[in-house]
Amino acid sequence: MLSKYRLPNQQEGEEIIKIIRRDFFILVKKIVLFLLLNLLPLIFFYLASLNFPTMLVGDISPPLLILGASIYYLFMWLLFFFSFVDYYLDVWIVTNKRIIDIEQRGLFSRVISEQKLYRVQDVTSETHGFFPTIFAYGSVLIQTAGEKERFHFKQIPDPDKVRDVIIKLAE
Amino acid sequence: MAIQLALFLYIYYGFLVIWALLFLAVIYHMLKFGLKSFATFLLTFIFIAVAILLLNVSYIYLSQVDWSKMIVIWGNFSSPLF
Repeated sequence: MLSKYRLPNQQEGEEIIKIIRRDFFILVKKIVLFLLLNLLPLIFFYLASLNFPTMLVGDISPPLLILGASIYYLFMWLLFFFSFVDYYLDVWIVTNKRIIDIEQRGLFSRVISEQKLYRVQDVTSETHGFFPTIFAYGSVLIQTAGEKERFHFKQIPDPDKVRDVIIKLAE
Repeated sequence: MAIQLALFLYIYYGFLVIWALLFLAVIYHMLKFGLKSFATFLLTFIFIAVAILLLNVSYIYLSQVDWSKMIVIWGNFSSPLF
């Protein structure tokens, strides 16, 4: 596991300044979508009871409906877990010596990049859209003089403050 | 032609096996790559707990079914599906 007390390639005197994840509103959107999808079987059952009342009685159809509902809800929970892990494992770590970009792309793909702060050339923060403006989240783009030229902190809270922190550390 | 209702249960078991493997894969990722903190462990616990709850509820309902019943696909329509 990634420990905030022992980072990979930790240097002497290195301290974590900020651990950043995507804004909580991104997770809220996933939760709302998940809850709406979970309502679908209930709507289906309600409409079925109104239009096909015999479908919910008998020896054959109720077990099949229970199997279908079980499969649906288990699948939905797994899908939500996938989606949450994709959100939760995206982490950006700013220390007093470097920036670490850990990006989970799906379940079986993970990209980790790091760059020393003295190689940071330019830091830009961006906020576009209605919800990002209201909930104050956006992106920070960091131009570096390294193999990976640009670090992109996506959908993070208070991008302006993060930009200020990185600029001050890079000076 | 008639098939046993239990056939659908076996298909369900097959789904459960695949589901369990994927679920374990996600838990593995969470514990291996997540930040070592109480939040990580708590969230993993919640996900596992709700999954167990869903499986338990499914078991309660499915255990009450007589799976030996036969479904007539075609032929004698005196025993309709619905």
